[in-house]
Amino acid sequence: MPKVTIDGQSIEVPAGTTVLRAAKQLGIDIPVFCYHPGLSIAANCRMCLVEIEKSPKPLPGCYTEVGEGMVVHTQTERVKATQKAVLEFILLNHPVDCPICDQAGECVLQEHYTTYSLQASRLMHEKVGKPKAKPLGPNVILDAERCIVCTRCVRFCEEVTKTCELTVESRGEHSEITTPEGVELNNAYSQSVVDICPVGALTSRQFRFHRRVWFLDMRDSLCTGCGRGCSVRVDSHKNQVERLVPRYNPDVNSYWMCDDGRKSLDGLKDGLTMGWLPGPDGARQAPAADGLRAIGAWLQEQKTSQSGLGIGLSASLSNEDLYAWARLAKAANAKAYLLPRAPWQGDSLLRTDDRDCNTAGAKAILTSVLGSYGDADALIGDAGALEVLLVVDHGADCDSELREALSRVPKVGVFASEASEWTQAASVVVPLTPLQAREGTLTNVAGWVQRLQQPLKPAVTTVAAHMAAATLAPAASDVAMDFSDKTRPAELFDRLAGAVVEFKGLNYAEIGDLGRHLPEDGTLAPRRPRVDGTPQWEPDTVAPTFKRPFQLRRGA
Amino acid sequence: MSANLPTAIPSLSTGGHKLTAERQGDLMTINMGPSHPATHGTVKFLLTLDGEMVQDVDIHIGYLHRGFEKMSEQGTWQQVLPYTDRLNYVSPLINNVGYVLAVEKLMGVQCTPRTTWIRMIISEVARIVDHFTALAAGALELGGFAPFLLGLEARETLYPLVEELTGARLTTSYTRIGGLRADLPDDYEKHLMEGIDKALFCLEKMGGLLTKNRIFYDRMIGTGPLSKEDAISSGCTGVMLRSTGVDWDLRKHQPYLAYDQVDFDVIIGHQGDNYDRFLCRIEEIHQSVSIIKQCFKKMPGGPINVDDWHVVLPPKHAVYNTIEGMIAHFKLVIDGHGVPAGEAYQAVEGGNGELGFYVVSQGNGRPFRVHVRAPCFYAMGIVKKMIVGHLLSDIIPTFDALNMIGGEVDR
Repeated sequence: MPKVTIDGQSIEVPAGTTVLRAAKQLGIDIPVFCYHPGLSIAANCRMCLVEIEKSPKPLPGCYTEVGEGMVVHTQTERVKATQKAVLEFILLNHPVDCPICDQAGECVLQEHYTTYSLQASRLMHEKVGKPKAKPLGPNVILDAERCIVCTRCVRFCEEVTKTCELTVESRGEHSEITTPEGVELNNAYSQSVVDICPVGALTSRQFRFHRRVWFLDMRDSLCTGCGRGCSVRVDSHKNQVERLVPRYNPDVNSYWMCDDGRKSLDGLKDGLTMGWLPGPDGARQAPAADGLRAIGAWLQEQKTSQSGLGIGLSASLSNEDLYAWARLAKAANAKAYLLPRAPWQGDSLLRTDDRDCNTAGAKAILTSVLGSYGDADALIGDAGALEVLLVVDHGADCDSELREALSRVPKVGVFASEASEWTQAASVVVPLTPLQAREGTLTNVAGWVQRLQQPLKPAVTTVAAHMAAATLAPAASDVAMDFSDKTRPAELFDRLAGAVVEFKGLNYAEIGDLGRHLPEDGTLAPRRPRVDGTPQWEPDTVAPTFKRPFQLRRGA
Repeated sequence: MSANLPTAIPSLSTGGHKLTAERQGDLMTINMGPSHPATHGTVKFLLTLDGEMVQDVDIHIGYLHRGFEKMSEQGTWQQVLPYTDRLNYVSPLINNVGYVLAVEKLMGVQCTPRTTWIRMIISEVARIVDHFTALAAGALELGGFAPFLLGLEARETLYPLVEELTGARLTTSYTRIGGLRADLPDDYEKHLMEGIDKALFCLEKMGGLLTKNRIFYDRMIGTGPLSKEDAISSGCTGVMLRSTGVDWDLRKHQPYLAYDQVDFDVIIGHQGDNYDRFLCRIEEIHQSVSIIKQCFKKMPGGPINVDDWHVVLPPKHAVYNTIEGMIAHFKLVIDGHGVPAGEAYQAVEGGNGELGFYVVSQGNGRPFRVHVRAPCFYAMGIVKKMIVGHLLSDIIPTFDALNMIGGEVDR
């Protein structure tokens, strides 16, 4: 292993490690624009130039591999002068757009300029004009003037999606990102280029001009759009989701997420906050507590009459929800049905065919607790024998067959976070807290258990699905449960891990930000070190926390 | 150098109020304030009276509490500045100067020479206004309406000059971290010296009405006595401390800005009574005028802001026309100043004494803690001792000579 000395500190790194990564391991930041840990190395921005002894010229730290005995300097006058020159060159044709630019506040160019340059403009000529607000595709809009031609977006489309929609046209200061004639940037991951754009050149049509970034409340969570369960950051303002951006998770989604995932939270904006109950003058609006009381009365009646009870569960409920409802179904001798959504077309990158975010967890839990369960066809078949049917977070499309089946059940209660044909067919609707407004865990298609981290605040009139089960359990059966409506998801997960063999050995606290894999052959894989540990690269976003090197002297 | 006040006429200065009458009836407990003109609406004296004699007093402050220190933790370092206007609202310019000096100390920034001298000028103008207000209000509350009008007239000749400089009479917010909002206006020296001449004319007339006025003598001499030891142990500073004969002025003894380069006297009293405090203030106005004149003489030209976009916003033409200036402006406004983690204390001689700012940074662009050492707050700690055992009517001159400012005490 070659030993390299950077700014006086020595480190041994595997052969082939770049100076940039070796420096990162020593805690030394080398500024970059074009380098992205998830893409090939272009070394075209020259921001990472460092001095290497015995080399006549500064070399790009992102590209240069360490050699035995290499001595690197990142803080010399020459390096600083180079950084200033690079920034001056990049800013030469940059428009004065910060006040109207979506990137302002999380812009790498702003950060680097304030940190490494802060010198006044010496430009005496007109700046080069380029197209502004040019749509590259349905989701991405280009402002060519702001572009610093780092080509991250070009490399993304070549290397990650392999769709090659983007290219660089012209040369020198006239270079411009564009699509070939007749092609538009329309792949399933197109908005990832907005995430990796270090400046405000590529903007998302969804987020563009919606909110200044420093007003955003940024919290970690998961995407619930498909079976992958990408790690994301949910950016909201006043409890309204403004955007989802991927969060680096090496085991699940790397640096990326798909465009449909970003839209998966749009439904939250007009989600159900009130359910309804039948009344003498037609249905009336009712909060969750009223709905639960009405359904509790059904279950009480059913407990004595022992008539048929069916519980339809979606595979987009959290592990804790499914565990609580499965226990309820078991105790009340109910028939359980798993109602998955219709699949869509997945791909080999991230998107799974399965549109439910917790199918793996649902199958494991229902099998373990109940032994067997039905599907939508079974529900249609059983409908005539059911007195009460509860559908929790309807997954499957409510087609005409299902609608007809529902009409044969005397009492249908639906727990839902958004209105649909299911809620129209129900006599009692209970508003359900959406996944992003509550804590819990999801198991993804590859067996990674990850935490939803409640990035949004729930409406007080809604109820979380596991709470609903816990509240109804005493009415449904006399079997004592090991959880109540006071049990938090964290505790419920630990009960679940004790009861369901697939989850054996996991505990909520250890799941962390990156998730843990289900045990294989009864053993858990060791925990992955945190992302900010040295072997990994930290997420490629500008940290919202304030950081700036101080040339300023501390006062006496 | 310090200069002693002329000794008051001996036959009068030994007087005081030594009533020896027997207690006639029960003790009486009454509220004085906060809705009492002499307590400025910001203090309550819960008095236990034996006739007219104060047996005990419980002093309640806090009626003007606005959470200055807590609010300061919410904004950026520069955004705290307007709050400082509201501390001692009679001399906000000194507060402005004190705050930025503390932040600059923590950042290791040295303001430009011209700014140093301008900051001294505005501090002294503010001190003059502060003293005029204290003298005028003190006279008014003892029934002297003419001196009050003269004092206010002096103040009203100076406030428009503050307005000319800063755009506001009270809410000045004139200083900036690393500089000032703007340079002095054209002909400002001429305008200011004319204004000061008018103010001094008022002061002379006011002094003539009060200094040897028999009624004023009787109300002021020997009342509100404060010993050197009490003044020091309670943390009194400024006129309160100097009136007891302690030679202590931060401008002289811990010089900041360029106070070590100007010639002025520290005015100290003899016996620490209200009359001494009255005379100290009059004399300090003259010293401040002298300092202002010297400042104008010694003040160099040159820029008012340090040449570092980490500290001072770029000039507007650079902000609006170049991306470099735009980014620097944007980051300084959105992220705040890059004050390195650490803490600093900087005290200046305020209108009422040592006005100190203790600032703590965690390096994230916003103050972690801002504490103000308000001179009046410490004086309020000893005022009970100055009141108890004396006449109810002595509370008024004592409290006025203390010149308590609620905005500063209740932070």
